[in-house]
Amino acid sequence: VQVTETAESKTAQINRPINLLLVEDNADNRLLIQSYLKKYPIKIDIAENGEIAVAKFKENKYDIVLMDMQMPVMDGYTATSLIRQWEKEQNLPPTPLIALTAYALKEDIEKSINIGCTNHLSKPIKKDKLIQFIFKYIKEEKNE
Amino acid sequence: MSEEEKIIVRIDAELKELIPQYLSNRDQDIKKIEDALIRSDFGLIQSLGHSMKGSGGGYGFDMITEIGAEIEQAAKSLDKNSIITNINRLKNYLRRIEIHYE
Repeated sequence: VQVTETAESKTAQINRPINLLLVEDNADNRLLIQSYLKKYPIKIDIAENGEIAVAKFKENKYDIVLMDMQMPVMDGYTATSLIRQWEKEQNLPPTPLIALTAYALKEDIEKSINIGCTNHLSKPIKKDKLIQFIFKYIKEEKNE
Repeated sequence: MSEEEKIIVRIDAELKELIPQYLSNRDQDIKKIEDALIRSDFGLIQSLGHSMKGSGGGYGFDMITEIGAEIEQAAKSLDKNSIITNINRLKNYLRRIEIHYE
């Protein structure tokens, strides 16, 4: 894979729709991410908090999860731990799970990775980075 | 009275439909923060600042992210003056922006 490959050219290589779980309590950010992904073959399921996310994750098969870390009811750290634990119990490989956090602080990044997140995106979400991350992890999973 | 200088903000054309609602939500935030100040509800102000910080720059409004961060921090320090200063900064910014979609 060439490093210079664009998100668009990667999309062309994926024939089936991608199932994405977006876990985010902030409606402005949900709308933003949905808008940026509108033109791609991505089916987006929404969860407003970690508790809903864990329930949806157990019921559906997702290619990738975008998980906000600071949420009411159940935060992203707890939800990610529960998802990883459930995957283990079910003998499933870990689904790519990208942490969305408001801070780019080193300890927050480490915390999200230690808890089982695949990688980390800092808010505010920038379009290029978002698209790049999604297709990077979808592709890696497909190649396994 | 001299006319205020406009602030040009360049926004992704894909977001055009979302912008009026996004900006009107910030007007709502200002009202909520002003009400919360009367009640000294710093928890709510911190949370509203945090949300602004996490969304503004994604839309292209980097200043909203910056002001949101200031408001969040001021609420944490129970600093009413700083909250008022930053609410005024936000009002001034929202009044002056001119959006160019590209």
